[in-house]
Amino acid sequence: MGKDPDQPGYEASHDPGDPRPVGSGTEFGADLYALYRAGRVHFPEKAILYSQLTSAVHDFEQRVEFLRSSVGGEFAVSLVESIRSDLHHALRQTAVAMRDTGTALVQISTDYATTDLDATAEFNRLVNGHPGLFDTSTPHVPRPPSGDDPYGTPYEPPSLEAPEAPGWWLTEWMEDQAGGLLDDIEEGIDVGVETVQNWWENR
Amino acid sequence: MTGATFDRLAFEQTLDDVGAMLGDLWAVDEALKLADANHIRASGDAPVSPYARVGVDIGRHYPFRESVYIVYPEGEEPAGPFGSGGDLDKWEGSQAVVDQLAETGRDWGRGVAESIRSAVQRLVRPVPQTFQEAVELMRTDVINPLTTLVGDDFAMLSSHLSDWEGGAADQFADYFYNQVEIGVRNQAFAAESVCVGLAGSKAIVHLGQHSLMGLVLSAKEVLEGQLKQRQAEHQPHEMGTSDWLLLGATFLALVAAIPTGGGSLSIAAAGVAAAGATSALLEFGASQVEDGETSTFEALTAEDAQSQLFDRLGDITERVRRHWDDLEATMSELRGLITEVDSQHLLYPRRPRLADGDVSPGGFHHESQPA
Repeated sequence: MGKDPDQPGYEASHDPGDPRPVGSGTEFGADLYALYRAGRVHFPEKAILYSQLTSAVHDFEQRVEFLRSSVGGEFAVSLVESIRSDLHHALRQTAVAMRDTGTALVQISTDYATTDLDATAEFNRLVNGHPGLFDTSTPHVPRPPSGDDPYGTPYEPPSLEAPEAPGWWLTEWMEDQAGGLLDDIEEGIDVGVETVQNWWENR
Repeated sequence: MTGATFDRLAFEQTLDDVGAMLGDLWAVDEALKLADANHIRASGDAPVSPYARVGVDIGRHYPFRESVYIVYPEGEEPAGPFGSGGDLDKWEGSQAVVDQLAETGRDWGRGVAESIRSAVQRLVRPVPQTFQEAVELMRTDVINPLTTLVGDDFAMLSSHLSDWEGGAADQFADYFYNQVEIGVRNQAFAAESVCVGLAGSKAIVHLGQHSLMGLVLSAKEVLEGQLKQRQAEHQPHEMGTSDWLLLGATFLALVAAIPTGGGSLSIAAAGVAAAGATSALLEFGASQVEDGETSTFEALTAEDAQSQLFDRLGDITERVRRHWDDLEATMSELRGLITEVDSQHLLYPRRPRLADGDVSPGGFHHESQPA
């Protein structure tokens, strides 16, 4: 019998000395089980999803900033960014609330399950009756990034500079070669003219 | 052309061509004007003074040879019909003047092209595909999982919550768990608003870039026509014209179709309409070309062409500016709506007190609790 409600094999223990009047009976136990299942499985699952959504929207800020810059800082795109920022805040708040609510539901349900013998029995019966739901630890919820956190996936934006014409290097190379050739020809002519002049003067 | 992706390299090369042809046309016309001003075109009356006829090569893109008279002072006639050292110098001198005009024209044409390049940097730098990729990413990474993976009663608590009593229990049920669904819809609407803003931006970028491309292609067509005509007739003859598409009529209707709530906070229902507006804006330019207005580029001389280029460039930048203003107004409305929704706690569910450990038997107990 496990004592940690976030681990597989957990069972509640009835505490006859607990006098708190929070409920009684098998229906109470069944409703506690529903809270436990929600906090142990469904809320962490959605908190993880919301944490991933928050990360995606946080990383998306890089794209919006790049796009805003690419159009010269148009205010319409700044407004897009402010909506993105609101969305980021909303998703993060939801992720954190889902995570903490899940933790609280596990804590409340397992705490209340000790107060009534019938409820304890029904709670444990239902937990044991659904082993597949609880055969792993309560999943860890990644911390959803805040606006100041580094980006999870850096965005590599494309260049905004004008592309070079294909083959420009070949053209330059050919011009260099042709220029060199012309230089050689001119030099050859100069030498030839000088030779003829020397011959004429010395004949 | 208008439905295809804007080819930045093709634009830059066409602009270079336009600058080169502008300079060429100017130099050709100046050379012809100079010959006419000095009455030396060989097509006119032969001079009274001794003369020789020489050919001068004019034009670079569509070159032609113009015959001009070289007039000699009395007593300095060339010894032969043509070919003495003095004649050769004078021939070289005539060609040198034309070549100098060509150089001046080339520099001027390049200057015009660089001025245009500098003026349109803001229009040609953005990459429309990057806007589209961003929209697609927002949809695949955020909107789709949000709307498909967070369903109503995701934790299967709806049939159990009514059995719990107390302030913390009510707050958890009414302001958190039962508000998740509306929060999801409004978050999806906010995400779609991001998409619609980026899709609208892409449409404006597309509009500006394709209008610009149309302008430089028309300018090149007209300039090329004028140069060919100079080659054929050795003088200006008639105005060259070319029609091009100044896209944009459809854009206004697309922006008007973006749902902004109309002062109501029930934006969740507008999500589908927003998604439709995003798709229509992404498609802008690819299918609505026929709705674009046309403009005519017409020029007889290089100066006409330069003036037309800058005037039409002004039309494009003004139209693009107006579209940015329209999109900005729409995005302001969307932003205001989402801010209002947020202030009403409808953008995300309120954090329940129980999440902070604020639970007591009085505030959170089962209906089976002994009275």
